[in-house]
Amino acid sequence: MKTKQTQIRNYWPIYVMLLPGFLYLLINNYIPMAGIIIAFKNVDFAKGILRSDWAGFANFEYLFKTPDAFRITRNTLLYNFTFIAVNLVIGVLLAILLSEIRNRMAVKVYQTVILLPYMISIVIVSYLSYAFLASDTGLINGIRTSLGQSKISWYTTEAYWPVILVVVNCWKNVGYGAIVYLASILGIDRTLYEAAAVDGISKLQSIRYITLPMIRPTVITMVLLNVGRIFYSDFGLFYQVPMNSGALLNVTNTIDTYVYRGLITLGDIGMSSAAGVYQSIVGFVLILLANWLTRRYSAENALF
Amino acid sequence: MKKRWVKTASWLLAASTVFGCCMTGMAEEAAADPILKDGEMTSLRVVFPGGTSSPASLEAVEERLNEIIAPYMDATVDLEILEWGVFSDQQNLMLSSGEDVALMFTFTSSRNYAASNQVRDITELCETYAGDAVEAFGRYMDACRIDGKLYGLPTFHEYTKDSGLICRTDILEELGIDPETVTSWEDIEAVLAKVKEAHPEMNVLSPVEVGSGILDYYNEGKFDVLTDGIGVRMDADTAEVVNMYDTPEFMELAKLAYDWNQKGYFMADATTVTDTRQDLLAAGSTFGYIGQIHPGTATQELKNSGVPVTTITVGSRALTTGNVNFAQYMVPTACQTPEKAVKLLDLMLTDSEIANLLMYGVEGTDYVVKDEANAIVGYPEGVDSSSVGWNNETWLAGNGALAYVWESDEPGLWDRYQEFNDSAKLSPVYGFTFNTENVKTEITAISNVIKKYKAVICAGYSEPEEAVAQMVDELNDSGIENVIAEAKAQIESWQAAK
Repeated sequence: MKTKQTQIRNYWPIYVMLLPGFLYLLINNYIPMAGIIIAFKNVDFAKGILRSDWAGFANFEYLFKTPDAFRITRNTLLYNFTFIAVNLVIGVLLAILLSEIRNRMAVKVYQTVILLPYMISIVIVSYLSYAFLASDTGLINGIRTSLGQSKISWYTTEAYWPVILVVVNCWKNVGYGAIVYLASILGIDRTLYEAAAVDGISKLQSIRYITLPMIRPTVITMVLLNVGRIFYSDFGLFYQVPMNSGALLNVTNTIDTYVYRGLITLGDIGMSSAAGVYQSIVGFVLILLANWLTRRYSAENALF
Repeated sequence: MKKRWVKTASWLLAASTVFGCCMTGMAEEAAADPILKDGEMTSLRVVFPGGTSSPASLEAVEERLNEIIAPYMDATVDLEILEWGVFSDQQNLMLSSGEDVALMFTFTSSRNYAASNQVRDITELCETYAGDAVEAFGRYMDACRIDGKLYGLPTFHEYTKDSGLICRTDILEELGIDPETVTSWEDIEAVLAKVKEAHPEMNVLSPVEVGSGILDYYNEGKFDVLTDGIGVRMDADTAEVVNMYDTPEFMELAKLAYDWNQKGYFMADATTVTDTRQDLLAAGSTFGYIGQIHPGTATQELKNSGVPVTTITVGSRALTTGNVNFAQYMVPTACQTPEKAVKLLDLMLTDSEIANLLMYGVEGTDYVVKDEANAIVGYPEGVDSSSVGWNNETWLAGNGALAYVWESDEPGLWDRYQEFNDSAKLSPVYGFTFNTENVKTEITAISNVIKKYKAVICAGYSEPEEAVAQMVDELNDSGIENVIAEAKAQIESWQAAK
C-alpha cells in the first residue's frame, strides 16, 4: 500500500498522461458495452431500450437458422484466414526486401508507394478494379479482345472472385504490415549481422537465422490482432468491390454483408446488434485461444 | 465500423429514453387553441430529402411559411432538406436518437418505423387538428392506417403506377414510330428490334435503377406486394397470397428477359453498372428503359436528364396499400409538440399557398405566374433549372394538387393525376399492412436470396427455367412458406375485423 502511494507520488505526471487514453477507452470502448442488451431486446422506441421487452435469443436466430448461415460463416472465416496468411508472407517478404535496399531515397519512395493503397477508400478501390474488370470497357477484357480471346463477364462469374478478392485485399493492406515488419527489422541490432558476416554466413542464411527469428514477436502480435477480427469481414471489400453483384453472392456474401442485405428492409436494430455481439464474442474467444496456444509453444511472445 | 455505430446508437437511444419519459405526461387536454397558441414559439423541424441541402430561397420560403402559420399556432418552421445520398442513414439516426423533429418524410420504411414506435400514433390528433386533410384524402387515407391507427399522412402523389417503355422521343421520330400504335409487349419488342438495327452502337435498354436488372417492372400491377417476395394476386377476387417468384408471371418475365438479352437489347453489365438511367440517357448511349409510368413522368425525366422522352404504357395499374403509403409525413415519437406538428401537416396538405411555396419556392424570384386562367407557372426571366433557388418534387411536397402547374406540363395535370389514381384497380387487401415482426428471421434470409437472383434474372443473364427453379428452392429453404402462412393469418383477422 505504502509503496503504491509513493509510486503515485513519484510518477504522477505519467499517470496524468495516461488519463486521456484511459478515459477514451472507457468512454468509447467500455461504457458502450452496455449496449449489448439491445441484442436481447425487442426494441420499442416508445418504451425506450431498458423497458423494451426481452427477446431472449430470437434476434440471433437468423444468423444460424437460415440456409445461408453456413455459407456466410465459411466465407468469412476462409477469406480472413487466407488474408492473414497471404498478407503475412508477402508483408514480411516486402519488409525484408526493403530493409536490404541501401539507397535511402529509394526506400522512402518504395515505402510510400506500397503504403499508398492502404490509404485509399475502398469505394475508390472498387472503381479501380472496375476499370480492370468491366465487361465492355475494362482493361483485362480489352487486352483479351486484342489478343483474339473472348470477353469474360467478371461480375457474373463466381469462380474468379476468391482470387480477385485476395489480390485486391493484399494490394490494399499489405503495405501496412510491411511497414510494421520493416520497423521491427530495422530495430535488430546490426552487430548480429556483422558477427554472422565475419563467420561467413550467406545473405539467405542471415535472413533465415537472424531476421526471421528476431521479428517473430511482431509477427505473432500482428497475427493475434488479426485473429481477433477473424469473424468480421471488411464490408467495403465484399460489398463494393464486387459491385454488389447478386450473381457472386455464393462467394462474396460474408456475415457483415449478409446482415446488411437482410436488415436493410427490416431496419431492426436488435437483430443488427445481435450480429455485432456474435462477432465480438467469437472474436474474443478466438483471441484467447490463439494467445493460449502461443503461450504454450512460445511463452515469451504471448500477448497476456 | 458497424459495431461502433451500434454502440453510438445505443447511447443516443439511452438518451432518448430519458427525454421520452419527460414528455409523455404533457398536454393531453383536448382544447385546441391553448395548445397551439401556447405563447411559446416552438421551432418545428420538417425533414425531407432533396437535391441540395441549402437552396438559395430556403430562408425566404421559411419566412413566408411562418407568416402563413402564425394565425394558427405559435411556431416557426425549420425546413431541413437532406441530400438524397445521406437521407436514409440520417433519417434512421434522427429517429433512433430521439431528435425533436416535428415532421419526418418517410418512404419504404414507414411500416418498420411504426412497428418499433419510432413514430407516433396520431389517430386522435388527426381528428382534432387535421380533419380537413383526412377527409380530403378519402379512400387513400385507408392505406396509412396500421391496425386502425394513423402514424402519418400521405403526400399527394401518384398512388398507382403503370409500367411500360420510357424512351427517347428523337429516336422514335427518326424511325417513324408512332407511340400510339405501341400497345403490348410484342409491339415494344418490335420497337426495340428496329432501334437495335438502326443504332447497333447504342444500349437499347438500360437498368431502371442502379443494380436492378432491366425488366423489374414488367409485372407491375399484377401483385399487391406485401413484403419482399410475397404478394397478393390482383386478378383474383379473394386474397390469394403467393410467392411472387413461383408464379407463371415471373417465369414469363424470366424467359422474356433471357430472350431479349440474347437478342442484344440489354446494356452490358446491367446488374453492376453504377450510372443512373438519367446519366445514361443524357450521355446519349441509351434508347430507354422499362419502368414505372404516371402522369408527368415525361416531364420529370426531362427535368432530370435534359432529354425529351416519350412514355409508352402497357401494364395494368393497381391501387395497393404500399403504393399509397409509400410517401408520408410522420410525426416522430420524440417530437415534443405533436399537436403543432399535426396542425402544420394539416396546413401543408390543405393550404394552396403552402403547396406552391413547397413546390416552386417564392413567387417572383423562383417562379412567376404565366397563365392565370389555367394556373400555369414557369421560371422568371433569366432564371433556369440550374440557377433557380428552389426545386422540389410533387411526391415530397405535401399537396401538389393545390399548387399551380409547371409550364412544361399540360394544363389540368392534377386532374389527370386524380383520374389516374381513381381509375386504378383496387387490391383485394387494400388497407392491409403486413406486420413482419414474427417472421423477421425468414425475411432476412429471403432478402438475401432475392438479392442473389432477382437482378440477374431480370437482366436475362441466366437460363430462365434453371435459375427460377433454383431461386424458388432457396426461397423455400429460407422459409417463405412461413411468411405466406403468417400473411394469410393476418389477412384473415384483418378481414374479420373489417
